[in-house]
Amino acid sequence: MCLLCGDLVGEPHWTERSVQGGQIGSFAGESNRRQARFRRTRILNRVLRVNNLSVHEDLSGTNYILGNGKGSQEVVQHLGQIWPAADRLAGKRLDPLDARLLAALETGDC
Amino acid sequence: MGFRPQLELTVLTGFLGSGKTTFLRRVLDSGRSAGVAVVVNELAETGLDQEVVSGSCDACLVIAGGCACCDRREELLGTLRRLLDDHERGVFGGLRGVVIETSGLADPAPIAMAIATDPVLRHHFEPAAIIAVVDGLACAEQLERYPEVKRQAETADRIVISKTDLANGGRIAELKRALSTINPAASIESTQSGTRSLFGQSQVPRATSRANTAVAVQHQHTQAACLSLMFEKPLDWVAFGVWLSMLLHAHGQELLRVKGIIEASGLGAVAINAVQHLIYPPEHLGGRYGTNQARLVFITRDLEPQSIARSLRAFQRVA
Repeated sequence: MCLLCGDLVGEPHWTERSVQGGQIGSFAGESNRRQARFRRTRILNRVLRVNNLSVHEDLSGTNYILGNGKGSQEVVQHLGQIWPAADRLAGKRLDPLDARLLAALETGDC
Repeated sequence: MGFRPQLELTVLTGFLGSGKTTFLRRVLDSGRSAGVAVVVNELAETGLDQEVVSGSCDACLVIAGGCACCDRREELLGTLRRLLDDHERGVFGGLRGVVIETSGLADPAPIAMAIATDPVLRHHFEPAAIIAVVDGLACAEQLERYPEVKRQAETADRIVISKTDLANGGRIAELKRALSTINPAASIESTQSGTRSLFGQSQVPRATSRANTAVAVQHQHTQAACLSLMFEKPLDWVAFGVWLSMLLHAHGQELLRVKGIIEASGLGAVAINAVQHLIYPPEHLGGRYGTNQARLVFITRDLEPQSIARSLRAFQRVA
């Protein structure tokens, strides 16, 4: 648990960590980590928008807040938790191979 | 703060009568694998395998009367925890690694996944390498008749062909072709000429086709298909992470294997290794691996390979 904000801090997701020579750590530097999270959120929003979902970072940069157009929200920590939550909020399994999603990404229509 | 897992782990699998135990005993007796504990899983209530290998290793434990990939999975995890306790108390001296010899009908993927997701064991064991022993005489027929044999070959890092001294060379060459079609990511060797090492896993799959973040479908099977991708420019790691995590979540059951090395923009080479829903922590290799050598292999079942390549391209576009 973080002593400052009281958040439960889990193990970093594989997309957010670097493993070199058996040493496990997050990406070097807080600014790099925040920058990667910002870019991840932007990409996620383009993917989620097709299914009427959106995601925002919390102020501390440790959680994501996922929501649907009906006002339901879930707080998740990383990508491993985002997809099951997105399925629940969308009421269906989100599919990265979905032709409609791919067409939207390819044409920039999202 | 970092740490290094203490013990290497290998899942040794193979169909009934394929020669798993003989292979294991030979490697242990060769003296190149000192400090090895073996966990033998037997479908029957009583088995003989532990009698065969117990004299050749530092410790031999048995899980009998069920299969460790399904109904005896908890027992396997408990056995490994006890083994770990004994290791930390110094019972075995210099233990280097553990080999799990599965039952002949086991699917090795759930075993590797159970260990990699266990809150204790995953911190103490290196991600499991899977070695599949196949019968040089009977494998071709078994691949047609028994889905378990195909599953074992599909998920293996190394495939070892046994009984090559009893089968003619043409038959073995044909079998090797069939196996490399099923699993091009695995190294294939025979018990006669193999490295006889139990640990370590090959990181780089073989691939023969080139595409610009695009597709080269190598092999199509009735159910399984293989896709090899090569990349002409580095991939955006953030977009790749979003894409692969979503793909594994949505299609883990159909993705039998994802393996390879990619060149990630700004990060260098990253080794990727996933079995179904489970992805091992990608290893950032540091330095440039070279985009001409970067490749990613997907072994899929009931999944259109072309759509995977299209999807990866589309996600990279929005990076």
